Amino acid sequence: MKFTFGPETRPLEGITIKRAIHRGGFGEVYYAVTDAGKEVALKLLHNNLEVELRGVSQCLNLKHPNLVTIFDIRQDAERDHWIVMEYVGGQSLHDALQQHPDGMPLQQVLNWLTGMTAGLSFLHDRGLVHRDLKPANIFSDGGVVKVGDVGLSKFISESRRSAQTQSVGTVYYMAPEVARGRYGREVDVYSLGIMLYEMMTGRVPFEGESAGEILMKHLTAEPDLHLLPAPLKTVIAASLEKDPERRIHDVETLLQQFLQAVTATGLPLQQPAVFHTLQPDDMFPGSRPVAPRQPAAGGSAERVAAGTAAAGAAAGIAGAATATADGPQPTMARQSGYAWGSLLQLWNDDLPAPVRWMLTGALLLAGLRSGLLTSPAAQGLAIGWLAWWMFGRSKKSQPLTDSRNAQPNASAAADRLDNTVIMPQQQSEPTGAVAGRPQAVRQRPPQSHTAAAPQYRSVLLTPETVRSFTLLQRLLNATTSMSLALVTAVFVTAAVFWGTEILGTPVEAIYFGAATLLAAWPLILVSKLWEGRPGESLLRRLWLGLCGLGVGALCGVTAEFLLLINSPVPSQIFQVDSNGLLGNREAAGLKVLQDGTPTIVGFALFFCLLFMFRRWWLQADNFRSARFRIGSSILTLITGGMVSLIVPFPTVLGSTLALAVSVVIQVSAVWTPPELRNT
Amino acid sequence: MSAGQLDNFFLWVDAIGVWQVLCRDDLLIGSAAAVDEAADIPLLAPLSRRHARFIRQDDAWFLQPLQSCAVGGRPVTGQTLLRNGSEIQLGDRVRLRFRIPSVLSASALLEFLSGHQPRLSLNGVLLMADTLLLGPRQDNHVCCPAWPDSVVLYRRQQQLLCRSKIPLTLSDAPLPEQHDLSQGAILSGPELRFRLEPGRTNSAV
Repeated sequence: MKFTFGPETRPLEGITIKRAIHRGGFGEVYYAVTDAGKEVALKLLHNNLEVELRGVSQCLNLKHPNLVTIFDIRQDAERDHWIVMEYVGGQSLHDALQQHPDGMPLQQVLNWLTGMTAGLSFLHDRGLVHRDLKPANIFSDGGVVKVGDVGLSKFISESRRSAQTQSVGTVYYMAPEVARGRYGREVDVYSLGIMLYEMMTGRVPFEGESAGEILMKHLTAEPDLHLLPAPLKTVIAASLEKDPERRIHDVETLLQQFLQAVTATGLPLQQPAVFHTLQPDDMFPGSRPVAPRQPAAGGSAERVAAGTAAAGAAAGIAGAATATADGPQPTMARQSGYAWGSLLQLWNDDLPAPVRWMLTGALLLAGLRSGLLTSPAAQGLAIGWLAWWMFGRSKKSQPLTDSRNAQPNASAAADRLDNTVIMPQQQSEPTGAVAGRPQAVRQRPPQSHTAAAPQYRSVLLTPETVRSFTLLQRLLNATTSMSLALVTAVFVTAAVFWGTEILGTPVEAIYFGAATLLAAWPLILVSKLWEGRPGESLLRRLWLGLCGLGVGALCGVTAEFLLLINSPVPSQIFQVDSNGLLGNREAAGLKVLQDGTPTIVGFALFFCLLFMFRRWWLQADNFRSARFRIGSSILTLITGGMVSLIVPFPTVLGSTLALAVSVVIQVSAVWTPPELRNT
Repeated sequence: MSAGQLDNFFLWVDAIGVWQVLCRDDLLIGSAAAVDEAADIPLLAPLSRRHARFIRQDDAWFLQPLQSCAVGGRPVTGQTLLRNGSEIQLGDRVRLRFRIPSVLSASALLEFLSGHQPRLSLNGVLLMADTLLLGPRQDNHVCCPAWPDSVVLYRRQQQLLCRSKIPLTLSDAPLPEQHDLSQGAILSGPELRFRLEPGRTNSAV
């Protein structure tokens, strides 16, 4: 980073520059000492527009502990203007945000907000508007929050050329009406709202590749608030209103409402307001029970209604990063998403976990017992659903990338903004002579400054998150899960044996338990080996299919060994009710069906398909959204039924086995609660 | 060249901050408010004129309390070994963190935890053994994230020298093989600039 003035130069009488501090949108800032030993910050204005100087001179005599004091405006021998101001050591809000990429503790948010509000309120009370609030302008010096660059805002003023120096870092915090040339104090409220959002979530609500894209989002997109607890959501939404008339009118009110909302959430102040969790979403897209999962201390009020993520995405180009996973969907899907969402919310949030588990078990057993699953209606539903799942879902990630094309007007407007308003690349040549300067290299702030805008973490902690484990950790996780699976399998088998009439004899029950374990163990093992690694879904399915072949063969051999098939008195549970789509084929001397029961080949085929049709590793991942998700289990049960329609395999046994494996894996596999997750 | 200039200098790093660098093995810390200021590290703080001494023996640093001191929360009366990360309390109010950032050097860094500073705001005080590392790494004595590579300052006999893979210039000319920075110098490279300013003698501060 090159600076015009070197150490020990004295552009102004009586003041010696010691070092450069940084280069901002307005010019270079230096740390300097007066001859008497007073520390000051010197800001060299690159473009000496009268407009700006008037702004600064208005603020020359403002005295407030939360505003960076301006001492003087001076001119050097080259007739360039310098602002002499209070030197503020300590951290900027920008630095503080970088230390908390997932949101800072609420107490810190309150500290920053209170200080900023006091300073801004003082400013507004004198009829002044800051207009350029951003984290890089806010400092904390010995615990006192100071708002800097007062009176220096160089927004898109009447003379649009001054906006050429606009860096992307500023645009993140710019109110939409600024693009139309309006600067009421609501502009500051909006910027404050954006910073609050950023402090709580670790990211700005409107991100984008270019200044034009971000401006466009300020104008049209709704902020994605689904991560915030409900009371805070209301306040942030009110501070980010597009229409300044409908926005919270002053900063004091914003502070009041924010304080009340924080109290209403009952959250402890030592931790951030949000936890980042996102579901792998292998089912029911648009209805994920997204979750600022609170620790036990939090009430249920701040649990956020599922489906709001879809609402956020409805604006088309909103919330780029968070909405990627579940972009805009067809209207019908979204509507049904709401209904399902509120049902799911009731289920997830309002029922205590033990009740949920007992109800789940009872419902599943009742379903199995009633024989509902084997009815033609259930099978029809399942086929339709499977078809949608396989072919209907794949489109959902596309609309997001095309959103700009989908809104020709909006995108044209964005391009216009790109070209006319924001031109960060453009060199603004200084008008003053440069001769006689120690190092007369006057350049635009380098791009690195623009790029120094916070690097927001767009990846939340989901099974897709890449993590590193040592082999030992992996093996420990796998063995822990597998030992737990042994116990779980016994319980599940007992429940099926006594709860339903599927299993008639103790031998059949033993077989059922053994088969469940034989399937669950390899699935857990490979899942834990894959955990945290990037991997192609299709490839993993193929590997699982291979595992399935082996597991199926083993299950077949076991059944034969227990004299359940291929024996004088074959067990009733293996009686195949339909020949399936595959039918009773015979190839290379291998039969899939013999005497109405599946052969070892039949077993192998059944498990092969069952393993391939589900992304099992998501059910075992330690970053799965909840330890046990009933949806996943039901889906697995249906998959089991589906597979037994393809391969000739007893439907009831097939689907029940699939369900049992899913339950055992989910309950047993090691799981990290969202609030304890880190990579 | 007087020994005093080499002993005590300010390291001004553009866009990063300023450190006071002290090179002796026995350094006095105390109040800056006293009329006859004696301390090598004078703090504007409710301390005695001579509050404690930092003493280096080979690669280890010790705190020799002259008035009430605590290390790691425990009051100490005799010479106490300082470890990387030790928190030092002087009197009731002043808290400092002692760090040895790099395993390659015995040089130590004192950070101000309680906000008590010398008259000029400093980022910290560096107690230089033989070398100082400035660069992008976390374990450099002065961490400059944007720098392309590290710069090493080192003492040889009575001279202060500098070495780096970065092409550095001294007063707009390439840094010569033979040089001595102990009189003060401005060193520049691509994207970086820093200055060594000889410290004044104690009585003149």
